[in-house]
This record gives sequence, structure tokens and C-alpha cells, in this order.
Amino acid sequence: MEVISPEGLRQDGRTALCLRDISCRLGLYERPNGSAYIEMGNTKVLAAVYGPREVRSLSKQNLDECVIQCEMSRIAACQGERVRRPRDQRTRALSLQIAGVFHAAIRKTKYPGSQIDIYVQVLQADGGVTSACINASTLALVHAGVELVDYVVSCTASINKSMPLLDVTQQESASGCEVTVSILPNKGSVVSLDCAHTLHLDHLDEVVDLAMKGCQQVYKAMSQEVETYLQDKHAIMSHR
Amino acid sequence: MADISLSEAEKRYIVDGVKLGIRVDGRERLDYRQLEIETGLVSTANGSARVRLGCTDVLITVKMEMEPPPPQQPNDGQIHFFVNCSANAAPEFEGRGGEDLATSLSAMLDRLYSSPLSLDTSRLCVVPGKHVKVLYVDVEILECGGNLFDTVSLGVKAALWATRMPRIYITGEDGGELEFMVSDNPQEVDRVDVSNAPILITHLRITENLTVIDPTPEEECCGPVQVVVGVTPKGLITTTQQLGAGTFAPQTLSASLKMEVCGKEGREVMLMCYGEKAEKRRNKVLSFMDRKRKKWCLCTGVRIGREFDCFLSVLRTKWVTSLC
Repeated sequence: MEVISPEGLRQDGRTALCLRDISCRLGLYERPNGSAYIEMGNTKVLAAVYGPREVRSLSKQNLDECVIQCEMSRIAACQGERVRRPRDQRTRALSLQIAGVFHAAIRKTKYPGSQIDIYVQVLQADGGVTSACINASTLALVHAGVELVDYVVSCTASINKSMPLLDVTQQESASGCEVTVSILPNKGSVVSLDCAHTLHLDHLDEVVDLAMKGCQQVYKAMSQEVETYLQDKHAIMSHR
Repeated sequence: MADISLSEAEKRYIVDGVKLGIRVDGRERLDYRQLEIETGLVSTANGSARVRLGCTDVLITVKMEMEPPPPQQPNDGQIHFFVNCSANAAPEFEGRGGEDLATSLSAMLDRLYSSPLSLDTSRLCVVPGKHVKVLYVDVEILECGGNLFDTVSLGVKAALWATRMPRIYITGEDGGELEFMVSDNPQEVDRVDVSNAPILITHLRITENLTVIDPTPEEECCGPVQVVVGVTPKGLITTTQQLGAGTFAPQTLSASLKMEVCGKEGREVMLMCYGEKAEKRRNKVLSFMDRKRKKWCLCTGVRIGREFDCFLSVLRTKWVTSLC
């Protein structure tokens, strides 16, 4: 099946440069210090943050700054085929990647000798899983009140027959590539860049630019949700 | 679950409250917390349900696959349970920390559904001896707030009720192997009959002769022992298990078993009647996006708090008269 029809529409009716619908929510659970849920199209991710708290194993303790750990798992029904093991090598690799991204964003020197744990649960996976995990973790950290340099926002982009695509689903990335970019939106700096499958060097610039533009749109949606949440909690005055 | 540490004074407070008939959150000994059930959240699974009982949150998904049956049971389908305690629920479940709890939960669910009376597995058979439907039920613990067994069993029942399996037609034979056609019509689905499916009820013994239903994590710290009973709507007990390092006096045990049979009815009636309503009115799935957190049940949008208390209070008066 073609990724883009001759009229310029994709399988789910979007145009090439259109982002999927994003809905997110902060503060689902009471037990973790911070929790958030995000839906980017059909990709649904839940994140919980415990911390800053005492370090579990003293060997990992760092007295200058905090330790950041992440664990990602998938539920069995997240894809069409049943996933037998919730945590395997692939999710461990992604967990390390997510933890690495937040090393740049969290003000670690403010929490010396402590630990921040980020737990991510993928409920449904349809392309852009790493981005959704990073976005959900950012929201959960915001809810937990952890000091951040800036939001970390992530988005995917791809290219199909010289046509750049924004926010690809699993089906679309299977026939091309999937480039995941995470940025600090207010500074505009890139925190992580990850490419799956093959991408020609000539197309790299335009795909990364497109992904960064997509990140700014995601940032708008996420900050809107944070403001709504804070207004609901009467933390900031509403000007309406 | 063991992350809560209580002082001796707090434990005394809880225990003395139960002796007076009042628990810390204002409930009586046999009251359940606020219960919310939603089905149909995960579109990639054949059936899914999310149950929230107080602070405990579980997500159950059911997936159907076709497999050859084991030689001992050639004519019956199968049902397998897998429980995953994710680290979201409690930080001590990180890595392999939640495995013990997960194993005991899945073993309990296996025993709960082991009886042919609870779930008729012969209806899951496609071709006797060659192909049967296997239901993989995956339980995901999202938040651990006490009383996991009850919540998980309610969720499993709701998810099985919501399971829609596409109808399978045998189109012909090709060199000894049968050919199947899976129906694409969304209306042509097979459902699982859960009218006799049991659920678990947990009784926690707080002090001499007194048990509480639906314990919170703080109460679980105080009580030395709990008994978990699986009961079907008809009042049959499919499984019992005692957990914890403590003992039950025989009178306490039999009294709590009798109560469980009665308490079962209240919930069953509620599940059945809301199930019918859900069939007629397909409301929008609220799931995680629900902002106001009103008490919705099975996507019908009916406030269940008051109705539920009504049911239980009616049954409680019956218990008192029968036990006296």
C-alpha cells in the first residue's frame, strides 16, 4: 500500500506535514511523586516519577548530583502480535536512552546524593514510541516538581520518495526510516537524535528540520496542558 | 506494597477503630471503596478492561490465538494468565522485584478459573484435537493501593466479558490441513460467557474475630493474615487461599466465608445490570483522560457510589440476621 496517495494524503488521512492528535494528562496517580499520560495518535504511554529520594544502592550514589534511572516496559497487547516479555533487551536500551536525555534537562546539582526514577509504561505502540516516552516523562517530571532546564520535547520524522513526512506511524516507518529528535524547545538545542532503518545523507538536514518544527508544535500542546492543569489546581491566576 | 511503615501508635489506632466498627477512611468493616470499571480501552487487544478500586489500578488485556491443544485436553480451549507488576505501581517492583507477587497472582487466577463450571472452555474449541482458541489474559498492575486480588479478578471478569473474537469459518481442506477464514465483519464476533465467572474476595483479619473487606495498604500492615476466596455468582467457592503469617480461628474463618458468598451477590448484580446497559448505550471511553474523576462504571456514565452502598447495605442486614 502506498504511504502517500496521489492526492497527498496518508493512510490515516493526514497530509505529509501534519502531526497526529496529541492528548495528555498530568497527575493520574497519588502514589508516585509525578505521573502523566500521553496519547500521540494511537501511541499511548504512561509515565511515573519517583523522586528525588534516597539512593537505593549506595554504590551508585553521587554526592555532587542526583542519579537518574529509567525503566521502560510494554504491556503484552501493545502491538498486533502479543509481546511475551514486558522488559527485554530492546526496552532496556530505550530506557538507557531516555535516562540519557534527561541528564541534560534535569538540574542535577540541585539534588545531590539523591535519585530520580522514571518509569514508563507503553500501553499501545504505533510509531513514535521513544518520542511519546520522552514527552510523557517530561510531563511526569513537571508534575513531580523536579527542576528542569527546559521541557524535553520529542517528535519523529521520515522521508518517503523524497517527500518528508512528520510523525510517522509504525506502518509508514517500516517502509522507510524513522528519525527521532528531542529538543529543548526554548533554547532550540538538540538533546538526542536517533535514526532507525536507513536514511540517505542528502535528506538528513530536511528530515531533522522537519522533526524540530514538529517538536515545537508538540511543545505547544504540552505546555497548554500543563497550564490547564495548573489553572485547575488554582496555582496560577486565570486571566479569562 | 511493603513500602508503608507504620508506627505502633498508628497500628493501634487502626485496630481500635475496627473494633469500634469504623475504619480510617470512614468505611464500615464490610464496605468497598469507590469502584470504577471501564472496558474497551486498548484497541489492539481482543478485550480489555481497567479497574480502579480506591487507589488500586489494574489494566487487563485479553488476546486470542489459535493453537494446537495439549494431548490431555484435545477438546477444550485454554486460558493463560500472566501478571506483570510494573515499576509504576511501586518502586520496589523495579527490575525483578515484582516477580513474587506476580507469580502468586497468576497462580491464584489459574486456580480461580480451573473449574469447568466457571468458564466453559469447550466453547473455545474450533477443530477438536487440532485447533483450539487460547485466551492470553495479561494483567498489568498500574498502581498498588491494597487489595490487589479483588481488583484483578474483577478486571479479568470485565475483560473477558468485553472480549470480542472474530468468527472463524472453516473454508475447506487442502492436503490434510484445514483452511480457515477469519471474518472481517465487526458484527460477527464470538463472546465469552462470563455469567458464571468467579471473583476473588479478600478478608483481612485485623484483630481477634474481626475481619475487614477490601483492605488499604495501611490496614494490610496491621493485619497478620488474610484469606482470599474465589466465589461464583451461584455461591460456589472455586478456590481459597490464606496469605500471611498468622492464624484464623475456625469460627472467624467460617463466618467470613459465609459473608463472602453474600457479598458476592451484590457485586455480581451490579456488574450484570451495568453490563446490559453498556450494550445498549455505547458511551465514549473516558479511560485515562477523565478529568473530573466522577464515578463512572462500565462506560454508562451512571454514578455508582450510592447504588453500590445500597446493595451492600441491603445484604448486610441479611448477614446479621443469618449469623445471629
